[in-house]
Amino acid sequence: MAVDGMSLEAPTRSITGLIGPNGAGKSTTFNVCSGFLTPASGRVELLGDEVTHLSPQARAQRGLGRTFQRMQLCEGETVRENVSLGWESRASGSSPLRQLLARKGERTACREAADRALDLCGLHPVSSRTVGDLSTGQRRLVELARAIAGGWDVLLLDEPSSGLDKKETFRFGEILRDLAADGRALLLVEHDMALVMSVCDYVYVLDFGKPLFEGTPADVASSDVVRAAYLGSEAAEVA
Amino acid sequence: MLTFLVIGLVTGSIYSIAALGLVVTYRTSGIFNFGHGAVAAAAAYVFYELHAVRGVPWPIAAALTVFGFGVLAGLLMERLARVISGASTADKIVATLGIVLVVQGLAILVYGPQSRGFPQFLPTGSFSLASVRIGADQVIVVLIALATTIALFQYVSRSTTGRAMRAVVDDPALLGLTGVDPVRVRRTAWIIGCCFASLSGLLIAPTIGLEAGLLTLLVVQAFAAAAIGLFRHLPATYLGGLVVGVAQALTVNAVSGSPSLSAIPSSIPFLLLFVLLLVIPRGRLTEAGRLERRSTAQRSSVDPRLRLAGLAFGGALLLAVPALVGARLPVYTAAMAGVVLFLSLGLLVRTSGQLSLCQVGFQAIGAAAFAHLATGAGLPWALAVLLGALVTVPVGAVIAIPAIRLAPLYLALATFGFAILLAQVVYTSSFMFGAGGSLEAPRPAGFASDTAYYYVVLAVVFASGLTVVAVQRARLGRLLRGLAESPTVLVASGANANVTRVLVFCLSAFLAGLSGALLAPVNGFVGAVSFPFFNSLLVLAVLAIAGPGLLRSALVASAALTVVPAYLDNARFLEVLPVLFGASAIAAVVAGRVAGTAAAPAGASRRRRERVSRLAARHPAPAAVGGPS
Amino acid sequence: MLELRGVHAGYDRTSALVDVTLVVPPSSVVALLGANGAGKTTTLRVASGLLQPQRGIMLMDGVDVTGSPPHRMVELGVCHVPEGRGIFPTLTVEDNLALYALDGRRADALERATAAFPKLGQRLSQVAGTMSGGEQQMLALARSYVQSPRVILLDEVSMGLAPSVVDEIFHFLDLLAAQGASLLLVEQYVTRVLEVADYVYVLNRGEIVFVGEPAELSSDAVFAQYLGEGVH
Repeated sequence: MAVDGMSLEAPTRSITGLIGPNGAGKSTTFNVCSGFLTPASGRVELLGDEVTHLSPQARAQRGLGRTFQRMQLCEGETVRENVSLGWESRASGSSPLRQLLARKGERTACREAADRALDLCGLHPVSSRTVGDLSTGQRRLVELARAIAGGWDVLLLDEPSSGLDKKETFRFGEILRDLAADGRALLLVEHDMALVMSVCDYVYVLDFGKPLFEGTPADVASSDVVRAAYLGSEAAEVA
Repeated sequence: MLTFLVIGLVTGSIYSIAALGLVVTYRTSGIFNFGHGAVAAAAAYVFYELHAVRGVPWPIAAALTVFGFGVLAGLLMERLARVISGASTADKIVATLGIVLVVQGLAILVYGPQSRGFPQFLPTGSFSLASVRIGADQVIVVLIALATTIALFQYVSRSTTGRAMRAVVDDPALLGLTGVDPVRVRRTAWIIGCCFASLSGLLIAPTIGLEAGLLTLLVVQAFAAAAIGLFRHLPATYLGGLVVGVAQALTVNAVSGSPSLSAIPSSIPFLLLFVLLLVIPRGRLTEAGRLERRSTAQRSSVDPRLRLAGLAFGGALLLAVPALVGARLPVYTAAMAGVVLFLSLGLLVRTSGQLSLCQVGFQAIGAAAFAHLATGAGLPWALAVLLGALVTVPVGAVIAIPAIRLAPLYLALATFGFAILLAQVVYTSSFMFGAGGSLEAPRPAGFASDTAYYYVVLAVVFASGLTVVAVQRARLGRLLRGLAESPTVLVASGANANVTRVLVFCLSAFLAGLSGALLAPVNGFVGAVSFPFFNSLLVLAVLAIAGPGLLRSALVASAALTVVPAYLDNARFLEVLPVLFGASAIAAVVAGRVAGTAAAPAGASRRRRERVSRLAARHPAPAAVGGPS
Repeated sequence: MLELRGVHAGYDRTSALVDVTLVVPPSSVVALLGANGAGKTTTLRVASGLLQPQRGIMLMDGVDVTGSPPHRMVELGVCHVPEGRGIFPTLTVEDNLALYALDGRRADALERATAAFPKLGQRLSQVAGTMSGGEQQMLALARSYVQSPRVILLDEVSMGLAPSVVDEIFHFLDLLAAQGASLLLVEQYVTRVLEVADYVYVLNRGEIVFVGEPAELSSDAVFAQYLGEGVH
């Protein structure tokens, strides 16, 4: 799916939502942000620096963290082990020596970062359980905790509520609010409009690869264009 | 020159037949059959038994072999392939390697290890064309290959089933929705593939004789032909076979003057395979049927105190070995050296999810480097061991290149090509094992007795074991486990996964080299015979059945491979062992799959379904339409 | 005709469908609505045998057909056009169409397909994956005409297509319905679907939250459902 002329900004201390019907180009936009796709034109900035042509790995080094729609977890490892991987990967970078061994004090720093992340996500009670034994809701939280442990300032969240029930989604939304209040910038690509409407500060709507609408959740809910795009009435085809 | 061209076209034609069968089954089923050569070898034995032993006329024996045995093998392969289709690439490879072990073992068991002459059953008349003598058998082989290729191509492009075979490559689920049973289509593909393998085995046997190892290997040369066809295109695969055959024959001609280069021709296919896998753009080599597999590895949940007790007991037992085993001590020393090899393989395959079919090659390099440094350069023993192992590190780094570029299956193929290349070209050159093919490998001064040297090796094993455990617990261990599960996570979290891959290959090569350096002094000398490339496959299969735990599996695997045979005085039983290893490897993968799918009720159990159905009959479902439910 | 009773289904540990009961009566158009991830695609996958239910049963003409593989469901008269492009992209258009001919009568299949979509007739030797999205979708839909099924499951067949192509596809659906086939439609164009449907089901997080006739359901209510406000 091609995306054309899309501009979006995810400021700190807030949650920005990106929504649109199936095939609207949400994933493409997401991949351009995370670095798995290079845009044909336009630029991507991260914390004030241009990162348009940097690899995902380099962007992560500069403060961009993410989760995955299809969860990427080490199923046979414990929750703590999975959460720690975020911190350790970021600390090790491209240097063979840094990958081989931690520096003095890093072990403690990693443990503390993991502890904080486990706390925020309420995962302490299951921290020594194997991830493969957890429910989908808990596993989504493990992914989020890994992104928190890495200490990233900007978090891209790819459809994090897939597979969660209503209660879990609500709980997830609360954690996201806490993260934003802590001073992070969150970009939420999500098909669950309910979650987007309840937690986001600002929402972008994509349709047919083009920006269709942007505004606060209330604006979006009352917008005829958005409504038409989702329901497929004539207005959407004109827009 | 022209004579060699003819020879090349003939052998090339046989490679083509084998390669076509391989590509057809691989594309339709997603299982790359490392046992394809074993099917060919088995077919040659069947023909031998029918024709040479029982006197069945050759046309009947050939038909029975190709159409009888081939179809049977195809049906069996389809069953196996269906069961293991959801397994990881590594498990699929282990299972099909198991077939090789079983077939080779059985062949040796029944027909003995010596090569037997294979009857030249095709007509042997000859004629001259442009001053080249051409045998009737040669013409027949080339024509058969051409005819089968055209027939296969026509079948796949025009027949209903052929069309479905191409469709199943695109999207098996959609084929089911279209109304065609994908299982039936794949079964046809396996039957065709195995008939082609049987035909190639039958045709190649008269030129090389009846020897399971050689027969298996010769069909492995088809891998290179398949690579030329990008493991996909049938006509290109046919031409690829011819290219391999002709290139090989022409090199024989080119190096016929210099005996030192005589190993080159037979290694051409493997050189081609390795180089092709290094240079083909990665987008052209997508692995068919690969699933995102979740590892099922569970952490051992043994009580730490129990674990410590186990370690202490095991350690004490290992220390007491010299007092317990008498004259068999050198076997145990060799097994200890083998433990380090299994540690290196375990770190690579189990912890980091990579694949290597050339681990014994690393071992050989370490052993040879050590011998040169200790005997030739006269370095102190410990330094020679350390440097010998270090020599393998850059080789490991080279092997990391395919690991970075390629999907797991092609990494396995590249390392396999590399292993054979090492064995055929490097082992035989004088800079490896010397002009005489054997180098002196000393023991450390003051530790020359068998008992003393055992303790030296044991100490190094302890040190290696500790190192591996430390690596597992250190940051690298975490990254390696992440790499096994999802390289994407490492990258998205800021770690360079390629650096991680290079690191683990270097570390693994170092340990394998160390193992070789420790192994060499057990016998006091070292030569190519200690490191057959085939053992790289064997160790992978043995590790697959050695149970959980990195340390424990290394000990178990090495004991199974080295110590157990020393106690089997019955030569017959000794020959059964590889068959057992192979069968167990297949069984382990199959059992893993069966256990994995047992959790998901396939179509719910019949009984429960019937119960629900009875209930539903008593309480009809609410009217479907009308009012909120 | 086709009926799911108390079906639970999912992937791995997740349950995508919870106690879904759904009936597609003969010669009717049934719409299945709901937000993304509500379980619409999973329902169709169960109905066509691609996914086996964890619990519950499936009936065709009152006969238990639970556990039948997809090719068996095709024999029973169920045709599923999946999400995305339901074609074999590396095969030519002609080869794709030939695969639809279950009785082996390729000429008939070609004739019927090109009668429904004349454009396909000009593309017979083209590799299917190189056609435009609309043409690919027509090729996929041609199967539901060529095989004369009794129940047709259609998953977002208008997704990402130009409005004129969407019109053409909706005309085609009318044609299918006129032939007496039953349709189970998963569509994002809610307004249009409500115009053609006889019955509507709404799914939310794997559960059926509404069953009824289109007149009882306004598109506003469906949109509210998307926003997570529930249907009342």
